[in-house]
Amino acid sequence: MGKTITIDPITRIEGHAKITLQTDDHGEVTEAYFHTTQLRGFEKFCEGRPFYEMPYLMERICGICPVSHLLASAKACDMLMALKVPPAAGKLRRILELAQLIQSHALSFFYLSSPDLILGMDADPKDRNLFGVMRKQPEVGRWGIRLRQFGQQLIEILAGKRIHPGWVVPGGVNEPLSIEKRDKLLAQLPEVIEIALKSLTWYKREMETFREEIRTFANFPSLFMGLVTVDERAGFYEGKLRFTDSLGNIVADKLEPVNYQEFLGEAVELYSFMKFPYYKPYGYPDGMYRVGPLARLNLVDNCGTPLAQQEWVEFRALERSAVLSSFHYHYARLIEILFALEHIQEYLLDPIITKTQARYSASLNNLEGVGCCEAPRGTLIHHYRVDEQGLMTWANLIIATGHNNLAMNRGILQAARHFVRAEKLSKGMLNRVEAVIRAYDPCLSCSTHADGHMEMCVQLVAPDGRVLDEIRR
Amino acid sequence: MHLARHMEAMQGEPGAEIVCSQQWTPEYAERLSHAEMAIFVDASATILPGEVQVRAVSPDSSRQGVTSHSVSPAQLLALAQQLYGRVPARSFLVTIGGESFAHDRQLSTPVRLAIPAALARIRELLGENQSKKG
Repeated sequence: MGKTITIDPITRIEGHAKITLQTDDHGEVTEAYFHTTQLRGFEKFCEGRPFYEMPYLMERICGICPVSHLLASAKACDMLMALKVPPAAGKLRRILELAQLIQSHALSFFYLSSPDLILGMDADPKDRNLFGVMRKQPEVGRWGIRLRQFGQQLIEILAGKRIHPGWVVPGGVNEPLSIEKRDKLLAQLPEVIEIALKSLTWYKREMETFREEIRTFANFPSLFMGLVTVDERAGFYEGKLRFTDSLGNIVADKLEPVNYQEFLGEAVELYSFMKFPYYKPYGYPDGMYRVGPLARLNLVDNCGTPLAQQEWVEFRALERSAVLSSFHYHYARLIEILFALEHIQEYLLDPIITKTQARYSASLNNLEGVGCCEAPRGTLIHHYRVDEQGLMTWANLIIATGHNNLAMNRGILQAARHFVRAEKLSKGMLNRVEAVIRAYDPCLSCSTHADGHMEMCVQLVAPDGRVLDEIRR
Repeated sequence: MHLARHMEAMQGEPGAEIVCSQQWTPEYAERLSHAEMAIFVDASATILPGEVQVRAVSPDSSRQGVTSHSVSPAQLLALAQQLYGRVPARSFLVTIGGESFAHDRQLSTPVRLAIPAALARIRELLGENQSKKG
């Protein structure tokens, strides 16, 4: 008899979601659904607000990646004012974004996913957490804390506070960087670069024990999308959008983010508050694509900084064409941390970084603006329309996690079919299905633009509603 | 946060570092490991509005529910001990009972009236620490 298995909530992710698995009469998983169970409403309640408030409203979508929303929103406002920012401010914005990348990736890898990687997918949930990591591999724990701390400190030094800073404004930033602060940051970089390298060395060894997960965690052909700069690097702050396929061929290139509606569609499914973006020329759902660290490293032929480039070459050698397994998002995140640190060092050594012209001013010059950047989790788009008085009339956000929605759904189906046996559930089975989602590092509060508390309960429910088996915590 | 900002505005306390943060996260473990004494300040929904409580805190990693968003003072001390081999000699949690936890820029009346008492307790603790050192 077919059954429905629910994993609710999914643990060690940002935000609130559940997974439903449907089995057939033989206990084989036939369908899987990833439900985002929260609704935020940012796109609606900002209507009527002055456009220049948007960066401060939008960054409050999230406490982990507020900088991405701040930057995408500020860029949309830059377009409304028809402004380019001063060169120093442009580089400072880029440093801020890279700092956030570091702290967000460190959170995802070391705090959220390392319990699975270090303690094992089948470990007792009582131990499979941050404290378990700290007990078993304290050095790895210290690396994670230091990397996250550095990213947050950098944000605080530049922008005044770690979460929801107000420093980025339409037209630039509201304070230049002093020589003293620049030197303080430069002094810390060698140590954290060394930690990033040690983390990679450690992880490449540990990865060998997860061959089965690598093979089955959302390991399938898909398109990949992300920003690429004019010099063919992953473009975190700017660039044009590129799509590649699983063989590494470029499918579409140099797409202007401002025209995203021409090539990105957004579908809605009744079982989730998160939208389902897709590549329009391939239709829905065949137009599935992935974004974020795995995609960014697949999209380019050059990582762009010397140490990260060496790691990128080794990473790309995992497969003959694109790297497809979503388990390798973890690996890609560590490489991006290294890249970000090296890139920050380059920017800080640039003499213009301490120039005092931090902002240009203008009034409203356009009624529509689009801002696009690469958040830690992938491409982020803010699209605004205003009236003649500069009041918001409409907003559309396409969030990084949303781009991965189709892929996450397909990924949990693949993992569930491999690991879940409906006749007898185990925590390890279900943890592996959750771990697929963790590999994507979803930011669900962003993606639906809730705060909720749900008891952890996994039930096997027969079609007639009888509870056949249950796990609680 | 209000207490911490108030102390910062008063140019702080000699020898004390004031940290304003919406959450206690694992990254504070390293900083704690260098401190002689730690005073955590928080609001509570489980004691009477305006009540000020002070209790000693010890490292404890046995509680479940640690998340990257928020760690309790006891868990933070346990992290400091586990990772850096050291915790402050004395640690305290100063808690003010809250009345309203809705979005607002103003403190509720009972909490506002409790601020001087909470500050006095914090200064007492700091003074005691100075005496012990002296």
